Amino acid sequence: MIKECKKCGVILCDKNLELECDRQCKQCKKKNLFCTYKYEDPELEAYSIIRRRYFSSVITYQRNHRIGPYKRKGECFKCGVILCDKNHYKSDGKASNTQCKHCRNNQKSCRVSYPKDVCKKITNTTRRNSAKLRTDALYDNVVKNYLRHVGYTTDVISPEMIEIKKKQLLIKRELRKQGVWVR
Amino acid sequence: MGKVNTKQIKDVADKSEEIGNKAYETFVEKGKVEAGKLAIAAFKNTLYANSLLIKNEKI
Repeated sequence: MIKECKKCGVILCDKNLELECDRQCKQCKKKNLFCTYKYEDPELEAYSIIRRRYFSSVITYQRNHRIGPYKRKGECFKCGVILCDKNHYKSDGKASNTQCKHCRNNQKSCRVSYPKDVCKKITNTTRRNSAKLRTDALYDNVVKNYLRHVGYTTDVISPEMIEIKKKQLLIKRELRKQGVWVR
Repeated sequence: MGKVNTKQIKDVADKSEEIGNKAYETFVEKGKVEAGKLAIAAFKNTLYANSLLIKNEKI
């Protein structure tokens, strides 16, 4: 059975299959878009080339009718979310988009609301968790953003202010745990 | 902004930072809610005063 990378849709290489990789090709793990592995089986190789081309320049190839039988999964190849109606393929075979609108806008996941049976949301837990960790750890950038939200401009924010704000935020968090909300 | 104002603001910034730090230590050691509230207010003043000072330096 042919297994596909859940991220880019490429057929997984032998190495991934041997290692029983969790349906994500090695290249995707390295943040590349598609697998560059060459298959021994010529049929598979041809298929993979088609897919690579597909991911490199989808719209051009579709316009010129050069693409072979690839699957129209309707998933965003970046975040894995199932594409919404607007992003889905049109009846004439031309794709309006291959990437969900939120990925285009550098957002994390598709938030268009659908009936549950139509749109399954695949949540990217690792991304979500890492974002939470970043906020919890109170890195300088995070604190800087807090200060910006309060109204301080970036040219005014100094390292001392960041340190003070960190302490303030820590106290606020502790108080919130005790049920005390301070503005 | 005149020199007097700058001095005053600096004093306010330093004092409120001192108060805030003390209150913060008390809050960490004893976990008193009031100390926490005081520290937050003091730090708020410190931040504002510091930002004013930096703005004044740049003018």
